[in-house]
Amino acid sequence: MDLLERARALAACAVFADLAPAVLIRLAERARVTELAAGERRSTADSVWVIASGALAVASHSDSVAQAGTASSIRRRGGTAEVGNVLGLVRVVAPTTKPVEAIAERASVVVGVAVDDVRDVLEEDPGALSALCEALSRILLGETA
Amino acid sequence: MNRRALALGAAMVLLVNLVAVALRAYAEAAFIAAYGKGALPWLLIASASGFAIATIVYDQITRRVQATGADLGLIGALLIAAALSPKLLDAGAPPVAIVIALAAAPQVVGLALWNRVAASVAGRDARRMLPRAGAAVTVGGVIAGLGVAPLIVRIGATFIPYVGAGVLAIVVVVYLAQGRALAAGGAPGATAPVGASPPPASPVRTLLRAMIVVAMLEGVLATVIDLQFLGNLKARYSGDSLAIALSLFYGGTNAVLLLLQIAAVPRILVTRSIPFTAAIHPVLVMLGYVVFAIAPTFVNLAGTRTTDQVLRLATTRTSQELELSAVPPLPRARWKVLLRGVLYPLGAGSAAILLYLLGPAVVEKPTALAGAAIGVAIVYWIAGQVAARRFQVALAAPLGITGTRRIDNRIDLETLERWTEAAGDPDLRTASLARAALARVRVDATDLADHLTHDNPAMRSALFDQLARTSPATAQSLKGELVAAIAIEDDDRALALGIKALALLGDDSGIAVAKNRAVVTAEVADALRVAELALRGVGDARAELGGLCARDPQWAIELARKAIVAPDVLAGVLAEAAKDPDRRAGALRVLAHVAEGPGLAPLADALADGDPAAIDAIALLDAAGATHLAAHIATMVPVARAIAARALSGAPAGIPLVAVLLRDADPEVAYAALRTALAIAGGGSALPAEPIGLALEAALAALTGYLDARDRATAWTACARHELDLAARRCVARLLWAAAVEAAAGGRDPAALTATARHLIGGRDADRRRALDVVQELQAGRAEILGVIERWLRPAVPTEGDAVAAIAPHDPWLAQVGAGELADLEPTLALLRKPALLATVAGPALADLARRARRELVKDVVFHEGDAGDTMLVVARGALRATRAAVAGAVATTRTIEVGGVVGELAVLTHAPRAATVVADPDAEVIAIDRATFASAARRAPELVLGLSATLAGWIAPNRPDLI
Repeated sequence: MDLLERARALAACAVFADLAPAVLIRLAERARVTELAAGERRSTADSVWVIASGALAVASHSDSVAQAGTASSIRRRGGTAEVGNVLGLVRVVAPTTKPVEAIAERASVVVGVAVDDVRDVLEEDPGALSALCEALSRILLGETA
Repeated sequence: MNRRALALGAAMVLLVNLVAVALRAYAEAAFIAAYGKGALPWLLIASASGFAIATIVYDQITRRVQATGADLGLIGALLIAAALSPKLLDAGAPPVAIVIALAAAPQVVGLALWNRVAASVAGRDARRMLPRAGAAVTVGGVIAGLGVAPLIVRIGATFIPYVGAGVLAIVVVVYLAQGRALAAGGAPGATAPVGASPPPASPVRTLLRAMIVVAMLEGVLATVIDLQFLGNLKARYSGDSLAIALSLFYGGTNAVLLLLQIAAVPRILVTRSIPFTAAIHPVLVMLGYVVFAIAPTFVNLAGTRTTDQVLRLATTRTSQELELSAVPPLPRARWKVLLRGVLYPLGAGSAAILLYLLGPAVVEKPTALAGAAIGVAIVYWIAGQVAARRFQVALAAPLGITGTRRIDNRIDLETLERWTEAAGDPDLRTASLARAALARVRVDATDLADHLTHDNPAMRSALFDQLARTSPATAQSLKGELVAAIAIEDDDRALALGIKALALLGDDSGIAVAKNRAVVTAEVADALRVAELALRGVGDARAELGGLCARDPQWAIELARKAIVAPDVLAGVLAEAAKDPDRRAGALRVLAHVAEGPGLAPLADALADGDPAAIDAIALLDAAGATHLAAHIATMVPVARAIAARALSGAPAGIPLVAVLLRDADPEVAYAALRTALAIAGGGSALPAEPIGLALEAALAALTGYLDARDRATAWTACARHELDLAARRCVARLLWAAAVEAAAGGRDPAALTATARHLIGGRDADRRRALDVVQELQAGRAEILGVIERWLRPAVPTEGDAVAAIAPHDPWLAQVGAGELADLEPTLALLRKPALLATVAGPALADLARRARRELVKDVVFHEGDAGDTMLVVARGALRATRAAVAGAVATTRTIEVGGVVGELAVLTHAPRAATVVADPDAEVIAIDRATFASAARRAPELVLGLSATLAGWIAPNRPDLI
């Protein structure tokens, strides 16, 4: 995936929908693409993961299932992150949030950006921060509704 | 730092080294006297293998019993061996056994006890104090080396082991006392701080692998030098005179080492990075051997061996000690023993065996051996650098700081073509992303020439547009190709853009092409008209300028720069356009590029109001525009300047303006400009050195001012002192950002320093010590930065003096607070600091919010669930109860909001109805912050939005695992 493709993968996330193109490009510059085989794991300890294709099952990091569980057992505990979802974003704005483990349910492609890099971009650009905040509030209101 | 344990530990290792040096001299002299020069390799093998075996035994014992028991057992065994050794030798015991017992075992005791010294200190205190504890070890060596020789002359060498046994008895007593001191005062170097992030396994493993190689190479090098030196020594001396020569050599070596440990090593360790420190030993040994190879005299050889012995302990072992600080405490102690007691001797022993197999001829070819030693030293130096770099990675890893990265903004022709096509994509999001990508990357201008006659008209349009936006020099270099392309252009949009691109280059050939066409579309007609105005002065300049503000602000900027109308007329046209919603964004953009004096007012006002169009106008500045605005920005109010500074974060062309804002007298503007400079540097653009240097000096002076004020502010109110602490914390970030920008200007990745700044000011206390160590590794040689940050991490030291005077030049607002001029605002400020949302907001912004917010008495129902609302409430007195009605599948919930709690945060961000019914206690009082007040504060302090995002994220997280 080149820079533009990575940016498009990021832009496909609802939570990044309001970010300015230039901000998405700056995030994409710092992003790396990883292809995951079914069963491969990723943690949100230091990265934000955007699901570009496939799906990842999510579990709490402290659960023993995160270490030993299969995708199906993890799915019973948590949720499934699919294309357009992003894992680890809460830790960007709330660093004390516990990280989670996610396991690829099938062959998947994820775009990873270091938590620090996302935070850098948001701190650098108050407009981006506001856009993210508004997206989060929309998600919250959507849930409330 | 546990000072008592450190002092007792230093005394303990001093005594042990005194014994070790004395017993070693005695044992080696006995060995050489018994077996002769030809057995020298065997001495080294016996010494090394004895050391390794004793260490392995010790390691195995400590895995089964407590270290204290193992240590005391080891000391006791050595004491007995020393006391019995003269009689055993007389009885015919083999000297090789004496070497193992009296030369190897004391070294293991030394290692074991050194762990107890290291347990008493951690972090930068370890860098400062461990060399001094090492100096105590050296003092023991000096006393033994210089004191044993006269004793041998007077009463013979046999006396030495008895003295050693007596001193070891004293060591046992000191050991027990130090253990009690560690139990009472803590062992910071042997336990991870509570709450500290554990180091990830992978960087630690790679670090240990490198350290194993370094330890073995260290042993190989030492053996080669030892063999050559001892061979020469044996040729010159024999009998008691040999023992005297050996002990004098050890004593002299330790004297030099002592000087270094007292005078130089602590300073090197607290000011230089580990790669620098680790390089000292191999590089100087190499130099020593080069000198010896040129002039192979005994003095030069002795000098080289002294260099090796001294620097191995002074710099290599201290580097090893610090590198091990990245390893968790338990494995750290074990690996320290194994590296020094097994792997180092393993390297030494292997080298000794090889030298023995090569035979005595090796010693007789000093230059060849010197060449081999230089080769080993080179490999050793490289391995040391690898280990040191891995240490830096392992040190930073628990803080989430990963390796350096480089952003490569160059693209090839194929990508250029693909993105250019995407820039014309019907999907607006894709098109805008492609344009943003194209604006960010670098393309070789000559690459564009081949595409100006591309088959796809959309591609040609995009390329002409790119040329119109590119630098004049680049566009000028392609003028010929552009003229040829426009001459045959048949697409209206591409032609309009081509006419513009040519007109901007001062070429009117596009006008002729357009006029020759039978039918001219509105777009081409517009371009034709503006081109004629720009190149021939024909047309209504006011009307065209006004129209271009809506259609093509970039061309409006170019026209304005040509001064086709008088400045006052231009200001009038733009001010008028700025009032028209359709032309406002373009007008502000033109103003940002060309306006000055009162003409800038519409832009300044819009910036102060946080108008997105004004922010875009700044973000889209070109280099000439940024230079122009830099000369006039001082006329704007600070909040407008700060917003302008932040707007430039994604605009490398704005560097001239950032450079000016970095020097802004207002601390919040300078703070914002520095963050922006960091963003620009992170994107790979270079900032000029002068403003970076000034920003660094200003931040350093400001932080020193804050710390001076902290020491003197004993009479300040609690609120004022809290604001001082917060301001100092922000200044630490400012200082490290300046250092990061400076690092970027030097070609290094600034991301690690930025992340470290975050951990230092916002991280857990447990991680700060590690963060400071990371700063040291990243900021080697900047002692003043390290010193002031270390001072900030320490508690204030109450001092007499004027705190307000200390801070006034750097932070006038805080000086006002300290002087009591904002006393009426302090109660509200203190209350607003309670919620996490507002806890770290910049003081002036919070004070502004406090002034605008309303204090209200509330009672009964404050608002109902579902009501419209635009105000958030901070509880100032009493309590509120928020109740959410039961919805399908859930029960009603009630929470109580006490003093300092917040309710209604969403209302200041969205127009959503209230999510709960809130009822107040009878005597409750709140601070009401409406949407406009919050927005105004957020413009000054974007971290408010970050706080709000954190609140929202906390609410969302439990139900949205796909967002966690």
